[in-house]
Amino acid sequence: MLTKEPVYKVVSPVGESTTKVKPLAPSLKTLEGKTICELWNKMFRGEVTFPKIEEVLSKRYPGIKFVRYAEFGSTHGPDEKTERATMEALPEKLKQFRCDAVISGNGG
Amino acid sequence: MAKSIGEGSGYPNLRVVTYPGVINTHEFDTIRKNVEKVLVDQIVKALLEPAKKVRTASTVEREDREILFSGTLEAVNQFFYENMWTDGLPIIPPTIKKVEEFLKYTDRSPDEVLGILPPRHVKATVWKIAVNGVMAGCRPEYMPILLAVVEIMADPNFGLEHSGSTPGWEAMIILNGPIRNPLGFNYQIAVQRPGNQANTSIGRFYRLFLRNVPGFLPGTTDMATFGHMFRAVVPENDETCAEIGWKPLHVLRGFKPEDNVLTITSIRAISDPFQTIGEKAERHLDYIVDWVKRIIEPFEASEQRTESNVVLLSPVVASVIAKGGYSKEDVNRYIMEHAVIPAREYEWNLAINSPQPVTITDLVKKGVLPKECGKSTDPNRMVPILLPSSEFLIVVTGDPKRNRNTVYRNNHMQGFATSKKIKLPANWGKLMADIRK
Repeated sequence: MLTKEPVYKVVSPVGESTTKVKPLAPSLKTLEGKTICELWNKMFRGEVTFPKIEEVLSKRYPGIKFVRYAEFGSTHGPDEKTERATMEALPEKLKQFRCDAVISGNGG
Repeated sequence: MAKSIGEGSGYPNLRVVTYPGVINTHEFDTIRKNVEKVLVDQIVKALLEPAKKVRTASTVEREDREILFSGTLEAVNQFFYENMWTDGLPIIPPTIKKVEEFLKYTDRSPDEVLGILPPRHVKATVWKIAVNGVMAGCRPEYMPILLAVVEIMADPNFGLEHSGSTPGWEAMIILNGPIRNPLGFNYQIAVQRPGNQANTSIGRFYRLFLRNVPGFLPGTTDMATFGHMFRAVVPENDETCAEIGWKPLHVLRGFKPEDNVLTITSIRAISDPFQTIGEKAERHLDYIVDWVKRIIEPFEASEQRTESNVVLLSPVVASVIAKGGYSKEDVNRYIMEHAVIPAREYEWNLAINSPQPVTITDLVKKGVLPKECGKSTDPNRMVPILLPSSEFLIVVTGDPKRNRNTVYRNNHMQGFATSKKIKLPANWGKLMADIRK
């Protein structure tokens, strides 16, 4: 007589997400005269990419302005406390600089 | 990874642009060319074109006790594997009965939320901890320890959100306190090998929980270049510490000797399990420092990152050092003071890691290095490889009769050393007595 294998009724190991989908800011009609803020995590050659992005966009779009990443502090580290403080201060600072768009980098 | 984290944060259509290639392998001129020819066009498109519409997939939120699947052991494992809920090893099927066995070992409500964990911003509940504990092959009586593991994960100072970073660090879970023996942990020969249920299954639980609840999965939110295997729990030999007059790790970190405490720190690099010999403490300490300098480069310190590294000392080595008049605090101080390298080696390391030359003079000006380091230009002057805020957690463990040590490098703020007291339920004594019967 064949022994029947046990059957297991199992529950989910996955946690319940608390995230709600949020809308992105609408796209811009032009970059002419706009203020672009830079956020950098001090990684993956941002010190090279950001100045070049500024240079190329400035040639293409008259009146475009940039607020450099140094104004905001690093978005990563050097420790948890500093990083949290930088991120908490961000919304107000972005308003203060009247940012129309943000370029945040760099991942790798 | 940016897209996955964006999705976890509520922005599934986050505007992301991609640099062509691996940027750190490109010289500056190549980077500038790629920015001009490729990246800027993507940036312009991203800023000017409407963002992609979000199709909100209907996510099925299940009740905790809802039966998700029914099948044989093999079928359950196949189902869980296909859903990426396992670590590649067979799991124990999490039935309601098994989960409830774990819940007997805590007086916390199954619905209690220990934290909202990134990157999926998911509730870490007592129930889910028990489910993953079952799956990992833990025994129900390990539940208070599993809860402490997740309390540490939920502590903002730990930096759980960095669990998917490139170095691929893995947690080292260090245990102190009288709970060690009743739960049958190994703290002697082969302490970090698989084989002991307590050490191994709790180490496994950490990684399994990280996958299933916060949601760190290779290729999306876990971008480890190579990664590490989960690590067996490392209990300290508290008795040896008492014999030689050393404070166990948890007491140094502010807990009482009778407390049961977990400390978790990230580990990204491991030294040889080198031997140190002789009766003189300094002979042992000097070779420990030598290995510290072999596996810890100054790059992170130059970026102002504090490290909470680990040194495992076998009991016999700890005894020699203690006889020489050194406490654990003295050992930490000794290592920190002697972990210095010639300026030319320091600057060579920075040059290898950063394409733009960064000198010791630059770092002195920024306040990263002490002023003394900038007082001469002698390439042989000695420079510390760690920030003064860094430390070494000295842990006595392993084979008591082997004169061996290992140095572990932590990944700074990513998995920063964090300790939590293990809270036992009010009826713990009775529960343990029932197990012994």
